[in-house]
Amino acid sequence: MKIADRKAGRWYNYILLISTKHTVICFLFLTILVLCTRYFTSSYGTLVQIVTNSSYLPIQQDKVVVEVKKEVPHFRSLTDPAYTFSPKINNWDLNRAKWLRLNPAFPNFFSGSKPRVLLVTGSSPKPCANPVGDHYQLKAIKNKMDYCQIHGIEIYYNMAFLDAEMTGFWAKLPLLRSLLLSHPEVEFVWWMDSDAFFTDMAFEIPWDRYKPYNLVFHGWDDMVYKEKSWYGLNTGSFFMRNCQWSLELLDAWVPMGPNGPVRDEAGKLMAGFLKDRPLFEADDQSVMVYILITQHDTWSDKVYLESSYCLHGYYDGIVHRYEHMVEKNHPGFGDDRWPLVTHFVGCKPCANFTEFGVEPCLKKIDRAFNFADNQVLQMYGFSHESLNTSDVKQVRKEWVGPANAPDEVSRVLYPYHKDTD
Amino acid sequence: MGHEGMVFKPGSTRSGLPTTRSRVPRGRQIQKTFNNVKITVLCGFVTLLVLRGTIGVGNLTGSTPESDDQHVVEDIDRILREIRTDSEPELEDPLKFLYFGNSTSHNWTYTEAVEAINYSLGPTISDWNQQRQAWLSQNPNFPNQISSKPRILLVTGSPPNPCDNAIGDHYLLKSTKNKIDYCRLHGIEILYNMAHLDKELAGYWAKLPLLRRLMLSHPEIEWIWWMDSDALFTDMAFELPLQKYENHNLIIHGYPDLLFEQHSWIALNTGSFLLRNCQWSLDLLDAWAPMGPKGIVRELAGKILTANLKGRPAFEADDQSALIYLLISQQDKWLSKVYVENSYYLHGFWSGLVDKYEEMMEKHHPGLGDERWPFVTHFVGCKPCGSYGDYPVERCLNSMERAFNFGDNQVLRLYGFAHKGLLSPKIKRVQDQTADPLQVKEKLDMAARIVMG
Repeated sequence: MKIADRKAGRWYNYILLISTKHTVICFLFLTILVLCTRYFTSSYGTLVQIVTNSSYLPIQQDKVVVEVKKEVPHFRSLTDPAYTFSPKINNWDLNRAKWLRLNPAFPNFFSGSKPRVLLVTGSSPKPCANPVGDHYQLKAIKNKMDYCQIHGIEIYYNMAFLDAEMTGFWAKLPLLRSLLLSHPEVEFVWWMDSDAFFTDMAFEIPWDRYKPYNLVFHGWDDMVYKEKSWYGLNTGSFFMRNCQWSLELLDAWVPMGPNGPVRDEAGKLMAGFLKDRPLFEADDQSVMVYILITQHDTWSDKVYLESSYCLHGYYDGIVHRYEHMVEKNHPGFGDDRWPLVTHFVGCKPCANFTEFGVEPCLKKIDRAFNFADNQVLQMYGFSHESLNTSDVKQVRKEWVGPANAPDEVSRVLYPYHKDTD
Repeated sequence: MGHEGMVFKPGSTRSGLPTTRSRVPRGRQIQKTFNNVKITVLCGFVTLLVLRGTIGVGNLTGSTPESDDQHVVEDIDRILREIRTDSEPELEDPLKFLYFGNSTSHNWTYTEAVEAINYSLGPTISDWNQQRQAWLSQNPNFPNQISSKPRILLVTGSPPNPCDNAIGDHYLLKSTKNKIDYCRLHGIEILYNMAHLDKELAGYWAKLPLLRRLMLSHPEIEWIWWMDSDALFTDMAFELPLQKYENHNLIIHGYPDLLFEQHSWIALNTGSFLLRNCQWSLDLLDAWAPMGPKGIVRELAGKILTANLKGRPAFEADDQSALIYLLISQQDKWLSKVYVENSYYLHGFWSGLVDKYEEMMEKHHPGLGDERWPFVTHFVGCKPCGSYGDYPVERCLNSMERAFNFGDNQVLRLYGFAHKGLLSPKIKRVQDQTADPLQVKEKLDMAARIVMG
């Protein structure tokens, strides 16, 4: 029996060995098979793959729009000299006044007290990472064009990265500086984020109120100076006067902006200093609050924090109330009753959906857009069938001219225009 | 009979196993069991791996990243579908249910169809010039001239839904920026339309009710300038020579010989034209509109146009062919007030222009507006927003990017920048920053040569 056992045992071990070997081979083979399957047959891959895989982008992607060649970034370190705008300009007020005198055809004020305003906004020169993002950018610019046409404001739509270090929300700083210096005829630049929509087409900014000030944010003095809250003011929609003071403010604002270690370190400082601010790289808004607190005496007397109307209106408390507003109120208030601006902070309609979460906002953006569009279409006798659809219907028989408009509203919509002879 | 795992026992009989088993020593038995278990575990492991890889079943942590993505993609698809299908102007052909006499079907002629439909752009107005003058004199705050330049309103637009092709929306955005830039530089007002004002006149005909509505609502505007969304400004310095058009009401790009002698369907281009705000224009729109209503009218009109215009393929009536036909067949009524312009590219067909931009920058300068430096480059037939264009997609998109950057260079130079290449979104400084920016501004000439450096 023992021999039989041993034979059996040997056989058994032999089989075991083969089995193990086979198992291992099978295992390897199947693993490779599985991996290959996953790699090649992703016909229902993620949205990012769909977007980047042809039908949404030019085929010669690397040559047309997206620069595939990645330059090795050289980040400014903490020991490098701080970022500055150069060359430094010291006598802007004087030079600008002289230019304005020599160029009376380009006044900085119309009919006495209305300043010439340039609304500045923009977006990336590359297509959005999702299939409908660019459509919402288009709606956003149409919305701004409508407001500006009614109120005699010019628009500059930026699609260029002026400075490789000032990326993301910091890109507005070199842009604003460049525009201020190139457009002495402009009295105020009005920066507006691409995700902010006008929702009160009749509201006129009370420019006279800002005569003593050079910088106007939506915000609250308490929240900034007492509470040190990082959203005590909002840099998504603000006015900046074209003057030496503003150039110097930009100089003071910019050093924490360069991407890389400088911005990261500044972010830590902001998180520690400002109430409830999470830890992430420094953003322009936090740094502005920081500057206003720490350099209070230098700047705060020329900064106005406006809260009597929604120069910025956080969308979450607003978009569900539009029908109620239409029922109870009318355009022209600009405040909570009929907000001037509905700002879709955090929605990121241009970003990759799978990274930032499926659209919570697109339908809400449509509502805000239609709500504003109704105020324009009304002038022509039309209106959206509801705030949730782009279908329009005729609501009034044809009439002639804005002055014959039967509505108080339509008359209000033509308060100003650009220039007189 | 029972088998234990993969144990092979030579010589064992069918009934012999239990007996044989009892003879195997305990330790051996345990070892065998252990080996069997090992093999079973190995097999089981491989099976699990394969199953997990292919159907995602059996993962103990719940949904895999792949199935998560899948849910997200399904959600996104559903939402995109909802957004896209919102507001599609579907219109039943109103003539489908009309019948003549006792028969339910009838062979309509064009004239019968037009009469049956009885379409009109709006109530007839016959004294618009007087109404307008009266309004202007009552409203001195809204003059029709600014600094002795007639007020112009540039009108463009696109459908309210996202493009079938996402890249189309991106180029609509760039095209809008391009128009905003030109209008800002030249003091022209701009309006972007995204509403179907009249479901019957949808598509390329949608501009007619829009133009009428805008003329009547903006008496302060002297000229309405319709521009297609696929037309880009490529000469930012060129100023319209309005003084040439004092006695005309419609300024349109075209070729008189193609129009009068050949009756060609591309003799004129309605992608970029100016229409004066006056009674004559309202009358023209009324005479132009009848071929537009969607359905049988447009189809039958299309046949008439194909028969009468040289080179026209067979398809439903379009506004351009209809206008050409109208101007040819009613020459005496309309032609005296129409200026057929071809001394500059009020419309410039893209195909012959886009490859020459570098040459233009080398030899010429902005401000010319003609073939040396085209005023407008118009991407007829590219249709980046839709699914089917007449030209290869790649060529169209590359060319549009080049045209956009070519125009953008002329704007960026005001700030000292230029694109690194006509296909590149990146920019570089072409003029050093200075401590005296106003001196630079004084010397800046919009019509100076562009240096790519």
